[in-house]
Amino acid sequence: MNQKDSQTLIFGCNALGREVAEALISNGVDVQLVDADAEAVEQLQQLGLPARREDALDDRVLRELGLGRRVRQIFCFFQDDADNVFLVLSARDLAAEGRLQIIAVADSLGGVDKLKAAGADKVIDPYETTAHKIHSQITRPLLAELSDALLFSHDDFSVTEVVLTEPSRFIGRQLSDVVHAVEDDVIILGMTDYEMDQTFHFRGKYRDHHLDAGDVLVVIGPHDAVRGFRRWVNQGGGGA
Amino acid sequence: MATQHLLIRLAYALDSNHTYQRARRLLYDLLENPDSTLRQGFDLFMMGLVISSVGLLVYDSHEKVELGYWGRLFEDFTIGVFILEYLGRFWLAGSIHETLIRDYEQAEDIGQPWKPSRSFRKILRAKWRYVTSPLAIIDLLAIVPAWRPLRFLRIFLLLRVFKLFRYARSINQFARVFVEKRIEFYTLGVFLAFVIFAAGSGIYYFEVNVPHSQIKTFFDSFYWAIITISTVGYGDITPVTTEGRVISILLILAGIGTISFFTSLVVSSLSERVQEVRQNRVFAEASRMEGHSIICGFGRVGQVVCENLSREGEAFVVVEPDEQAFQQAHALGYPVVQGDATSDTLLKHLGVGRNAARILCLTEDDVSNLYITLSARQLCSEIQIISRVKHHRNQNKFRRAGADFTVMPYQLVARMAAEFAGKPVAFDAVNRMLSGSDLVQVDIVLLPQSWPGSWMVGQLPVQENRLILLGVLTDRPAREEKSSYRVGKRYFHFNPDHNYKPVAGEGLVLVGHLFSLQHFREWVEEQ
Repeated sequence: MNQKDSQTLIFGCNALGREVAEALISNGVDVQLVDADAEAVEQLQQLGLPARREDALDDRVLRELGLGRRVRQIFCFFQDDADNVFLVLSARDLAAEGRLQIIAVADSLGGVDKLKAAGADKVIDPYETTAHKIHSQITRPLLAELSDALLFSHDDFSVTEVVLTEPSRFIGRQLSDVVHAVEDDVIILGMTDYEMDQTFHFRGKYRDHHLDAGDVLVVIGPHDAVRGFRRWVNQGGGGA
Repeated sequence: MATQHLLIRLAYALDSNHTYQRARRLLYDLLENPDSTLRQGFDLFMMGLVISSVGLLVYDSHEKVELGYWGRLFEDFTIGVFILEYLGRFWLAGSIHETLIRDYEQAEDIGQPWKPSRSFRKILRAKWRYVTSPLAIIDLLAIVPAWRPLRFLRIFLLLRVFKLFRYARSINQFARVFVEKRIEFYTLGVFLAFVIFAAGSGIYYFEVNVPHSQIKTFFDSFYWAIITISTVGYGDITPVTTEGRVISILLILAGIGTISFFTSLVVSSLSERVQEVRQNRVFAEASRMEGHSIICGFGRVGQVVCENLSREGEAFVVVEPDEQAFQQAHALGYPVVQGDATSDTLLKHLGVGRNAARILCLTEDDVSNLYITLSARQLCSEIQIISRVKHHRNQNKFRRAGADFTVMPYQLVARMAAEFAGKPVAFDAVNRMLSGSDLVQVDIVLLPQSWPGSWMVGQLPVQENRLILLGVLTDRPAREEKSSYRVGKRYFHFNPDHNYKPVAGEGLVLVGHLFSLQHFREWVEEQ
């Protein structure tokens, strides 16, 4: 991802905000933490994190923070679902055109649906997530350990997205055609066609897909191999 | 001295005699062992016998009825079984030879002379304790045929059979109500005795010599007083004088008071006990489970875990101290105990150290979770402990306390959020595949012991089943040229060469449609 001209806002200077901020900063993302509570802000500032004291429920403040312009991504981590819903709605309103990714946490049972309805791209229910983790640890311990390895980035191995851009050698071909054309140590799991819908298409399904620019391939493999693959794919050159 | 030697030799001989031991064991299973199925069958048989013999007794009561040959034979048979059962129980109560051997060895150990008389006194005491126990007395009375009304006591034999049913503990609970409220009952009793005595004496004094009065004896007057105060009022004896009627009025008023007092006393103390009765039922349920999970804390996390477990038919019990959450779990029909999971006794009752396979510490509070972890680990070294950890800095403490696995919600959510931010499509797709909520799943197919090591991964019917082989999970360390990563105690070889030969015990990590995975699994089993 190109991170030079984009910024990520994290609303809520709590344990969650801190963890995410640290993870993103280590990935080289330009992060800004925002909270109305002076004490919480100060705590994070002492840890060396870029935190600011602002009232996020005010549209003028949001605009000042860059929503609708530089900000491409926001995290809504306020304690209260109502605050998060308000924030999501304001942000969607301000960034009506242009892509803004909104990730929120829900605290109450109905919160997930409300935040989704408000326009959040991803809503995480911490309780449910924890419970599922524990449950899979009980019922499928082997898979649970593997899950961590597959889901979360490591130094050397990850699941990644590769966006097809002109003049990719894959453009104009069928998905079933290209999955075996890969020579690197990379496996293509499937793809998403953003023009059609947001759903992920597993490559093993019977329906085939015509690849064009803007399609996203989901690939898995060691970092070096994936990097090489990304370069190779988006070169022109037709067939392999 | 010679008799002593003979005795102890005999005791050792019995101890090593298989037939004797087996007979005793069989009898124990039949009569006493609470876990034996033999006993349940025997109890059913005894219940049938008691009911039919009491039935016969009632049928026989009418003077016109003659039992006949078969009836008498059945009666004799019943008595025979009862006698044998009584003797059997008598035999089981305290073992003679074991006591002899134990005492002898103890005496030898400390170099003192062995006194058989003391051992025999001990044995006698054990037997006597059995003979004087209430149930044994009922048994004995039931088999003494001498006095007819005693034979009816046989109905009480049913009590012992009922005792076996699971909720025997609940019956004890109810009995304890009376013990606990004994001061109230005592007061009530004294008051009642006084009222009955006063009214009975009064009516006797005023009416015994009155013509047409039904009161002839002192017993009549007490009978009348009790019938009246209980508001039963048969009306077979009624006061005829004014004084007698005044006494009746006072007695009835006192009766209404005492009855309402008595009822409220019983009801209130019973409702206090309901909680405990319920709890005992859960304990009884937990003791019958096999490899169940104990879930401490029915917060949001606990709720979702329970939901998943119950959907998959896994056995579990919930412990929750908070009233509201407890009621919620109860309403959902989960076996739940209201209490504090930091209590060792509670944990033991729920099967820690016995049949519980794992304990989940899911309370909101790190301190409680840590305490539960530590208690459970001390009670049982094998149990799997999974704990929720709120603060990052506490994680090591949980490891130290004995948790096998910890989940940190904040960290988990933060990692998920951060990963999602960079690659929304990929993350969601893989997450859904891993959670098993989609038809397309990631799964591990373990190769069975019978797996022939001759197959290369390239030859496996992976593509035919429209599956993707992500890698192999193995104990074998990687060869250099391939990408391999540590996953827990194992290695994950990503995208192995097509000539890699997996061996039994290794797991193939596959992605694909649920049915394809199933099909492939079946194929693997067939090899």
